[in-house]
Amino acid sequence: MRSALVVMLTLCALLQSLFVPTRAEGFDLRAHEVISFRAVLASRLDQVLREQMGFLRGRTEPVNGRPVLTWITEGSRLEDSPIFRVRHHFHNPTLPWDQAGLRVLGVQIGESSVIWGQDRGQVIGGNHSWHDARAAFFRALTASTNSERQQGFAETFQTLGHLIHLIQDAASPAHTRNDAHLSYSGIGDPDSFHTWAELNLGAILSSSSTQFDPSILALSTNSLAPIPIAHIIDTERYRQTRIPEAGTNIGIAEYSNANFFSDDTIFSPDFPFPRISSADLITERDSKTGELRRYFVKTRDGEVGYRLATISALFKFLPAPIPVVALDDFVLQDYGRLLFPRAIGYSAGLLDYFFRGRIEIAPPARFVYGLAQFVEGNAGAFTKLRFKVRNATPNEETPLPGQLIAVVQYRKPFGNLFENPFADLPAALSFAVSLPQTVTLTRDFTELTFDFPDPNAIPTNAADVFLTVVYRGPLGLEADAVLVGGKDLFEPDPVDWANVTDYDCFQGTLVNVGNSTLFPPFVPRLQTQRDLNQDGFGPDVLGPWTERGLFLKTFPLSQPPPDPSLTDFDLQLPARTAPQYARLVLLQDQPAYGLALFTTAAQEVSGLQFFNDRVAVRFDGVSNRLFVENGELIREVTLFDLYRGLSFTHLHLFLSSDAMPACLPQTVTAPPALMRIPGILPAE
Amino acid sequence: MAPAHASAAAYHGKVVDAETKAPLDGAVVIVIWHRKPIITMDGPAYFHRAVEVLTNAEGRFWVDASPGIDWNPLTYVVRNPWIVIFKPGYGPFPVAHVSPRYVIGFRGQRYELNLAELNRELLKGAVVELPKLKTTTELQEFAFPVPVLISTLVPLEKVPNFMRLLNVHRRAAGLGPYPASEGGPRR
Amino acid sequence: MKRCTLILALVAVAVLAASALYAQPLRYWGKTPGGQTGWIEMPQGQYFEVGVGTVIPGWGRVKEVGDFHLIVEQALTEHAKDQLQQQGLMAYDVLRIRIPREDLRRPHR
Repeated sequence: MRSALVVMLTLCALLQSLFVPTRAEGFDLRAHEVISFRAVLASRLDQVLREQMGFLRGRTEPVNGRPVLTWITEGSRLEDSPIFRVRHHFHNPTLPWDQAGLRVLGVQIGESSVIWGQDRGQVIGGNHSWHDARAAFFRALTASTNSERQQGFAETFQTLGHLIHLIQDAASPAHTRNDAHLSYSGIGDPDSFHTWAELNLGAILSSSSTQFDPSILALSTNSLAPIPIAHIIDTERYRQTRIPEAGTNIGIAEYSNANFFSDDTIFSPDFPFPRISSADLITERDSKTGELRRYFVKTRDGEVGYRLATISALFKFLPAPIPVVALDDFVLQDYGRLLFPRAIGYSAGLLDYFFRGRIEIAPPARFVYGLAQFVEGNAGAFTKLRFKVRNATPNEETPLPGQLIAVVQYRKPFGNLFENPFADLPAALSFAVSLPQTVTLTRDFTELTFDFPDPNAIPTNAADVFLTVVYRGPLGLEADAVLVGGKDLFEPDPVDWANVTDYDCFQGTLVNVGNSTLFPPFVPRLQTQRDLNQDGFGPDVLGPWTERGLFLKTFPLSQPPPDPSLTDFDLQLPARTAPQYARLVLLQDQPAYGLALFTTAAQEVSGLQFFNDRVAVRFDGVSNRLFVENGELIREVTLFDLYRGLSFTHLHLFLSSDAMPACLPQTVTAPPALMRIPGILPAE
Repeated sequence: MAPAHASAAAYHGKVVDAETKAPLDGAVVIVIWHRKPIITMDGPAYFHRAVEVLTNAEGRFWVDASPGIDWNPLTYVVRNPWIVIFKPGYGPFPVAHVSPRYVIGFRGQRYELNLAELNRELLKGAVVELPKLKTTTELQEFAFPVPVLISTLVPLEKVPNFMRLLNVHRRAAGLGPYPASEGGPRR
Repeated sequence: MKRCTLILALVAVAVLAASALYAQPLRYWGKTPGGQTGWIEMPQGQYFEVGVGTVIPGWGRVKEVGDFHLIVEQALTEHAKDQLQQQGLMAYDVLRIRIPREDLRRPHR
C-alpha cells in the first residue's frame, strides 16, 4: 500500500514537472559540509599539520589554492556525486558486512559503506577509498616538486572528506535501516531527517562533539574491510548481542540503527529495536499550536530520554495499514541532539586516526643534523643529514620494516642569505627528498643517516627550513600506514672561526703587528720595535700567532663542553694564521648551542708558545623563517654583521693578547680582509 | 528600493544592529539557487545562480525571488534558495542573527524558525537584526564560508562582495585573507 | 660610552630596503643594570638606551630586550605586501629582526 502511494505520488510529480519549473523543498548537501567543518575543528588536524608537516597556517593552509578544510568539506559533499555512488552509502549493522548494503525488493544493489570506504575499485566518481587517501598522502609528503605535493595533498584531503561522509551517513537512521529515500524532483520519499537537518543547520553548527572510544579501533579486524576505521561505523557487537547500546564503544551505525527510526522503518519487524516496549507513550502540547500530541519517549533498551516517534495527527483519518506513527519536527530535533554530536565526533575521530602515526625526531649524538663545507657564493649543500627517530604513536607498534624517507622543505631566496639575510623569499616551497631506506621503527631512538645526493641536496643558501620524516609500513592493525614526524630546524648556520692576531692593542692604540717590516719579531736589544714605550721591557704587543691542530665541536648547552679531538670534531684545521678564517655550515635545532674549541699548539712570531688551549662559547641559532603568530605572518631574520670584509652572524676571534679587546672595535674595517681557508669535515 | 519593473515575489527587508537598532549599510545579501537531478536520493547538486546586493544607507535590500530558468531537462531548481546576510564584525544571518529567529507558540513557548520559514519571512519583508561580535573567538567562528552557510558548491568568484567583506572580517579576526583561487578538481 | 635615550614618540617607521638596513649595522650590547632596557650602538658610535616599544628609526619597534638578543619588528604596508605578492614572493605582515648581543656574536680569546 505504501509502495503504491509512492508510485502514485511519483507519477503526479512527473506530470507536474512538465509544467512547474521548480520543485519541493530540500537542503541536503550543506548538512554534510557543516558537519565536516565542525569535525575538522574538533580534530587534531590543525596541530598535526603545523607541528609535523610544516603547514604554516595549519588547517587553513592553501593547498592548490584552497584551504585544507575546504578540500575536506567539499569532499564530503562530493561523495554523493554522481548519484550512483549513493547506493554504497548504506550499512545495516544487523547483517554480516557482505550483506549489509542497500537492498531493494530483497536484492542487494549497493556495497556496505564499511566495505565501500576501503574498496580499491571505486570507479564512478573517482577513487576515494582509504587506500587512495593513504597513497595520495605518501605521494604528497615525498614529492620533490611543489606542484606534485600540492596535488597530492589536495587529493588526500578531498578523499578524507569522502570518507567522513560515509560516517555521517551512518549517523542517519535511513542509511542504517535500509530505507532508500528516492525522490523525483523533490517529491516521493525524501528522508525527513535529512530534510530537517538541512533546514536546521544552526543546530549542527552549535552542536557538541562526541568522540568514539578509541578501543574500538583495536578490535580484531574483519577481512572484508580490514582497516580498523570500519569499526567507527560497525564494531559488529550489536549483530552478535542484539542488545542496543548508547556508549561510545560501538559503531555509529549500531547506535543509529538500534536507537532511532527512519520514516519507513518505524517499529518495523525488520529490525529488533527500537521496539514498542522500548518507549513509553506520553502526551504533551505541541509548543507551536498548543494541540495535544502523543509521543513515544524512549525509556529503555539503549539510549533513553528523547522523543522516538509521534502518533500521526491524521491517525483518526487514515485507514490501516497507513502508518499512524511518524517523525515530526520535535522528534527529529531530539534525534539531531543525539546524532549530530556523534556525526561530528566520529568524523573527527577518523581524521585523527588517519594522522595518528607520529615519529619523534631528536638530534643525533654529535648534536648537529648536517655539516657542509662553505662554497663561495653560498653555493654549497648538505648531502647527508643525521638524526634520531622513533615511533611515538600512542599504543601502536611498527613491528615490521617499512620505508623511511626524510624530506626537507625550504625556500630558495633571491640572493645570498649569508650576505643579505633580508633577500626576498618565494611564495613557493622547494623540497629535498632523501633516498629511501628500509627501517624497523621502535619506541627507542635509532640514529640514522639520510642521503641527499644531487640534485636533491639541501642548499646551504636556504630559508624557512623544516624537516619531515615519513615512514610507510605497518602500524598496529593497519598494514599500510603512513607516519610523519616534523622538526622546525634553524636555518643553515655559518660558523666562523678566525685568527685576527695581525693586530694588537697598546694603551688603546691599534697596532698592525702583521706588518713585519714595521714590527719584526721582538729580539731584546736587537729588534725593539715592539717595545712601544721604550722602557726596555718588551714586547708591548704580540702577534701574529700561528696555530696548529685546531678542532671545533658543537654541543647542546644542556651538557658540559666536550673535548674536541681528532676523533670528535665538526671541523678540523691543520693550521691557521692571521688573517685567516674557516667557515663551517651546519644545521641544528636549538635556539642556542655551544661551541668548544681546541688548539693543540700556538706560537707567536717572537717565540712565545702555548699548548692544548680549550675554550667554549655560546652561539645563537640562525633564523630566517616564516611563522604565524596571532593571525599575522611573521618573517624572522637573524641579523648579520660585517667584520674585515666578512659577512657573519657569529664569529669567534683568536686575538693577539689580553689587551686587544679594547681595540677590537677599531678593527671592524681594518685591512686586509679576512681570508678563508678550507677546513676538514669528519667522514660520515 | 524595489526597481520599477519588479515582479511580485522578492526577498526584502532591512538589516539593523541588534543592540542599537541602527541600520547597517554595506551588508551583503546573497541569494543562491542550486539544482538537483530530477531523480535523486541524497545525490549531487549543481550551482545555478547567485545574486548579491548590498544594503543601502537605510539598511534596506531587495532581491527578486525568481531563480531564472533551468534549461537542463534532467535537473530542477530547488525552490528554496540559500539566503545569507553578512556584515563584517557581525553574526551572520541565518545562523547567528537575533531576529527574526523565534516564533512564540503555545503559552509563550518559543520555537526556532527553520531555514524555509526564514525565507518566507524575507518574502514578507523582515527586519533582520545582526549581533555585533565582541571577541576574537566569536569573529573567528564565522571567518570561513562554510559556517556562514556558503557551500563549497558556490564558485567564490560568483560572490565577490561576500569574499571582499569576508576578508575584512578575517582581518578583524586576526586571520589572513581567505585563499580563494579555484585550483583542483571540481564536480 | 655616551648615554642618550631615544624619545619614545618618534616618527612612524618607514620600511627601508633590505640593502639600506644592512648597510647601517645596529649592534646590541646587552641589558642595562635595571634589566628593563638595553644598549644599542648606531653607526658613528652613537649609543642609545632602548626598551620595549622604543622605535629605532629605520629598524622598527623594539619587541623584546633579552639577555642574549634584541628583537625589533616592523610591519609591512599593504602596498609593500601587494608588490611582493604580484612578483610571486612571500608577502609577510611583519619583519622581525633578531640582533644577537655583540659580545656573543664576536666572542674572542
